[in-house]
Amino acid sequence: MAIDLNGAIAAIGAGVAIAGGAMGTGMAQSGIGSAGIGLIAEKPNQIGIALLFLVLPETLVIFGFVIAILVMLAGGLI
Amino acid sequence: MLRTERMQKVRLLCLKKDRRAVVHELHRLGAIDLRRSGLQLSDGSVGDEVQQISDMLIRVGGAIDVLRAYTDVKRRSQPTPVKHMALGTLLERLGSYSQIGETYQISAALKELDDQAEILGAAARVANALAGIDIDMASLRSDVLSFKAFEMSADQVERLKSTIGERGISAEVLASRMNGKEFGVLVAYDKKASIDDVIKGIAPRELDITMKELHGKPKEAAARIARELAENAKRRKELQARLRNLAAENLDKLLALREMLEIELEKGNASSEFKVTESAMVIEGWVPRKRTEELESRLALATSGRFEMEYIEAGEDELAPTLVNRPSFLKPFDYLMEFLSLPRSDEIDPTWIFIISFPIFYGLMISDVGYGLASLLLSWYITRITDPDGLMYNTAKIWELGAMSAVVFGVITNEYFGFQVTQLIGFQGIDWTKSITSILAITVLFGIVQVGLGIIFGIVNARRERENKLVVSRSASLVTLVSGTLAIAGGFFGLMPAGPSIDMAVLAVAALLVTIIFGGREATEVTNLITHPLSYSRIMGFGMASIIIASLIDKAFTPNWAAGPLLFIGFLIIFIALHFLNMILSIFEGIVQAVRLNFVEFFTKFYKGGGIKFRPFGYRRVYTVDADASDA
Repeated sequence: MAIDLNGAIAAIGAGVAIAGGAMGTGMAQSGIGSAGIGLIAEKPNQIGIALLFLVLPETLVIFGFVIAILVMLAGGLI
Repeated sequence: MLRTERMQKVRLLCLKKDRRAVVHELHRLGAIDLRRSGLQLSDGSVGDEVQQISDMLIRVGGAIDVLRAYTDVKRRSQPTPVKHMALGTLLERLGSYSQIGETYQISAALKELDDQAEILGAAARVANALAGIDIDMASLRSDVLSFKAFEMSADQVERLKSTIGERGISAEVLASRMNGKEFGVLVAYDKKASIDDVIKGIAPRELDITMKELHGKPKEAAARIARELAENAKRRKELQARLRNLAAENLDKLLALREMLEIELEKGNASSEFKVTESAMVIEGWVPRKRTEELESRLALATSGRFEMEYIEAGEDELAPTLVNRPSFLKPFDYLMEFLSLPRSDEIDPTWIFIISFPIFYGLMISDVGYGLASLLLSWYITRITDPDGLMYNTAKIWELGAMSAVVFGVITNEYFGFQVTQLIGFQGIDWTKSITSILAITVLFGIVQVGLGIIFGIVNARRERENKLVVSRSASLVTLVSGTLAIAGGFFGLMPAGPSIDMAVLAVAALLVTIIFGGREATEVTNLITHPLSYSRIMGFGMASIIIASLIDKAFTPNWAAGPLLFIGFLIIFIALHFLNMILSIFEGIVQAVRLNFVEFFTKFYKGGGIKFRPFGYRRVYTVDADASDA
């Protein structure tokens, strides 16, 4: 499949959007994850709460994903 | 549907002499959650009977614990029908239950035999180790010589002998070959000498030769101890067989009697919640409003009308307990709500929305018949092996519903472990990868609807609490959400004419300003009007990721017999392993994200939580059924 310049820039943009979101999520989850493990070690019945907090930052990568799709749509890639 | 049971606080005034009848009836009815009255009266005392019950419970519980070890713990016979028995009769019956005493006696005898077997085992080891040495072990307790015994290898024996020789220690080393390459070694040395340094360098296992069981020649001692051990084992077997018999004949009866005792204990302890005068007592508590009449009529029967019931107002900061009534197959959702935070009795109960939306979100994210069926199988298996009152069991029950939904969405999208079987079923299905825009729009629409619903619930709650500014702010938020959606739908997707789209955009901005002005601290949440509905696009994100990974696995690793049997088996293993991995990831994310969308994006619009569970004064019987209730 041949991609023109617009398509190529859109593909790079989509990649950056996902990568940025994923890095942000990872950075946030590292702190929350370690705190969550500490909480579970002290109070094992709090695992549900810890898990819920852990997934909160995943919103960032989801936004990155949505932006990537919009960019790819605009670039005619999908 | 969106409300928990309405509760009424009641105060019961009755005579002290009717205490047993009233408490028994309240307990049987299981309709009142007791609270200590704020009236300036004396507290009810627990009394001696509670101590008597506690003592007997400990005694019966101990016997049950012993007998349980001698039966199949999973076995549970039908509950025993029991009639109410006066406490004195119950205690008397248990006091004369001779099998309880016998259980304790046998248990103690077994413990003694176990201890004896342990000592005999250790003595047998020493006697066997030294069996090849011809010495009377009584002479090992000498005033002139010291003795030490060890287990060691041939190499260690040689080192021991040579070291003793090199150091000129006056000692004799007697070795006896045991089984294999090990030796039992007896070292006799002068009482004034020391072989500790020598032994330290060799580090053999030392044997205790001071045990009183060791007398006579080692070989004879070994034979005698072996006989004693056999006798010990025989006696233990007899006692264990007797315990098995006792368990088979008495365990169910004892479990039923213990349950009756526990019920009596609850009744006895309840007295501490009452307020009393010289001849009367006051009981307060919360009752479901629809059961107040039943409570009144049952108490009238139990006391021959000698009681008064009045409805009272709750205290200023007092919250009524929360009681939800849902079909039993939906109880796991209540469990999960309780696990996170129970709805308060004065707010909207959003569990039904959670019940409806969870399977939809989960099903959409998995959207595969194969993964759905595998989820169903796994969740069913988990429910078989876990405790019905535990988190795992309840999560698995919720998961079952989600798995069924995943199968339905799998059929719609024509996905079977990532394969599309169009020719087989004659149905094209909706292809995720070719319908990205539509599915994105649908998932965000889910978000708009659920977030909108959350805001409406928030308005209702604010109205109940007479927070007028919040009502205005939240209403404006709703207008912002709806008009903003229409404006974007019109402008971006061309679904509306340009004029009305602009009008909607202006309305959205105006409503947003109202939200900010009236919202106070809540105004900081306005950005969530955009981010929360958008957050629902994760349904598409995770769903598509799962489907694309599954189809990539199919493309790369579908086993082909034509490539040869070895390659076929290798590819089959990789194929199954990767699908399993993808399935586990999808399932985990599906559950967590579907729960999260409800709890974070939806509930934060209105939900306070922190409700207190309604705990009726009563007992959940396991081993007995109330025969009096069935007679009635």
